[in-house]
Amino acid sequence: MSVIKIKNITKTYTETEVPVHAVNGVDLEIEKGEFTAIVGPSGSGKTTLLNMIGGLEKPTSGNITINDTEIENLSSSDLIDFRLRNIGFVFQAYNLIPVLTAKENVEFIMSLQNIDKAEINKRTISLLESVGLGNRVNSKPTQLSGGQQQRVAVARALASKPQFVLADEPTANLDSVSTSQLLEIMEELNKKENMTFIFSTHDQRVVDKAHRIITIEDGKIISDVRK
Amino acid sequence: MNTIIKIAWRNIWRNKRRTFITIASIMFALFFAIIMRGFALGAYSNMKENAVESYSGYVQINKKGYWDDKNINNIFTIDKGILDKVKSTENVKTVIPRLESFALASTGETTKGVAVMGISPERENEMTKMKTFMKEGEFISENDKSVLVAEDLAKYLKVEVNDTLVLYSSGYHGTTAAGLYPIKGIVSLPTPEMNMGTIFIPIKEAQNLYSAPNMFTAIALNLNSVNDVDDVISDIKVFVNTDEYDVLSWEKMNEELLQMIEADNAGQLIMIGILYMVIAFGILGTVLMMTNERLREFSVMISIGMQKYKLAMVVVLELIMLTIIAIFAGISISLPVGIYFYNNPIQFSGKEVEAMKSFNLEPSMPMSIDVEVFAYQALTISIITLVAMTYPVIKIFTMNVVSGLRG
Repeated sequence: MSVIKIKNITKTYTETEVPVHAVNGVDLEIEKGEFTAIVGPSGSGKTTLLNMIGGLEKPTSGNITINDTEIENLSSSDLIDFRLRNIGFVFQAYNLIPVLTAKENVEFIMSLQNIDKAEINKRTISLLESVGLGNRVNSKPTQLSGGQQQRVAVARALASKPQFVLADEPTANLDSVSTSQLLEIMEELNKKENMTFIFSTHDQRVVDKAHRIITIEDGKIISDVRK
Repeated sequence: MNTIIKIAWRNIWRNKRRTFITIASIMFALFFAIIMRGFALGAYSNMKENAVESYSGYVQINKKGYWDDKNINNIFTIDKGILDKVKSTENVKTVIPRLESFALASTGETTKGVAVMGISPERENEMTKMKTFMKEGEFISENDKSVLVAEDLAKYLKVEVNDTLVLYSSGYHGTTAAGLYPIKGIVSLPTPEMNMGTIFIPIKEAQNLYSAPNMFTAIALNLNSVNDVDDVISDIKVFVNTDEYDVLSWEKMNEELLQMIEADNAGQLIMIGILYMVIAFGILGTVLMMTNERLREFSVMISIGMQKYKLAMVVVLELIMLTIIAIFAGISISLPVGIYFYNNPIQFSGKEVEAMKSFNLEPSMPMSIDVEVFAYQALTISIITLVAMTYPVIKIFTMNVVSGLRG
């Protein structure tokens, strides 16, 4: 069953003197539970494709359907709400809210969904334990290592029970130990909860773990390999 | 909502130094503005009180046209029934009959033109608290044939208590008004102009002097509050013939003073405006910094599903909290200073006294601690913050999330 259906999308930036075709005629379907890595050189269009799947940017043409919703037709406010309920984000620079503790960062997403307080508490503890941070719930981001912050970010991404998680270069700022830990956690979540993960990455270790590798160059998919 | 409040509160303190500098700048601006306004309004209020309570009263009934042509022939008798109605008008505290004119006051070889105030001593005291101004001698009573002389005038005429003073003037309808009066007391009046040229005499004796029995130049009214003036005037105009009498408010009687205060006030407001301008740029600078350095954070919050209006609420709340803290701090440091100077007005000495007297100002400066002094300044700061708030709000609603994520 496809979670994401992308039909012939393009993205052209016209702000520069010469128009840049960042994504150029991409067709793609992502199935539920896939652990997918999008790879390619810098400027190949990986992040732009990920941004469009995440509803952060609108395609110049083509359409993206997520669970039967054509997201390019949603208003800005509906799109924010759609992201809240359907998409988890993990960023390269972790991007936790600096004034909130690990626990509060995870709770924050659920509080935006108006989930019951007891349920929020239970789920937050469970998520932080599942990323190995059950003992750091009250630590602020500045008190955590990069790897720990990224694990909190993963827990936050999963807090809203999304359809899939988009991770843009999630290991780029991590050392090898933290990278291994993070990948193990994500792999585990993928296996146990059938969570769909889509990474954009340069990291061979991520590529090695991925079940599907999509290579993109000059805004076009040049290979799509399932292991 | 709790999460929004929590984030806003913690955001204020994430850069403590900047927050303290912002709070301190608002606090000191508020402090200086309150002190400046407090002293100005205190001085204005003092001047008005002196003018009203030592002379004009809140309302006066005169013969039509008397106020613009203060002439001994412009006087009136008043029907006792009407006077009783005036006395029983709501919010009228005291009814004070007066017969005022001018005379030459002479003693030995010194002569000076003076204002002669024929007063009903006890009633006058109720409004003007004249007894508290007594410097020497005794206060006059209703049936005395003696006078009170203002302190500076007594010095000028070189007279003391029990000396005799000649008053010479023109009486009602051209009669000669002349009399010899012993000085019963010396009074120190708050208004320098009055202190240099006023003599008080019991009204009956004044009526004798000016050959104007049962006649008055004014019926001055003391009221419960300055806020009752308009109501009292309307009530009186119902039964007083306005073709024959003027019923004047203290504002009408003190137009020059009010114009002077208005001119001074305008200068003051320009000064405070400049102070607030500086503070406004300070606040705007803080707002610009705290907005622009957090664009990535804003982008992340919107990306992960926070509606823009909720994010705007966080920023608005931060500024509201910051402003409330600063206003509270500003008022906290200025209130004790205000209370101190309210109870202990600055007393000028030396050359300043002469300078102030030459402008007919009392050489003391109390500070007003009216709620409006504090409320207006706090309101101004709040409006400045409100204007500054529009920047982050507009920025949040118009920002490009993807650019923000790139930093």
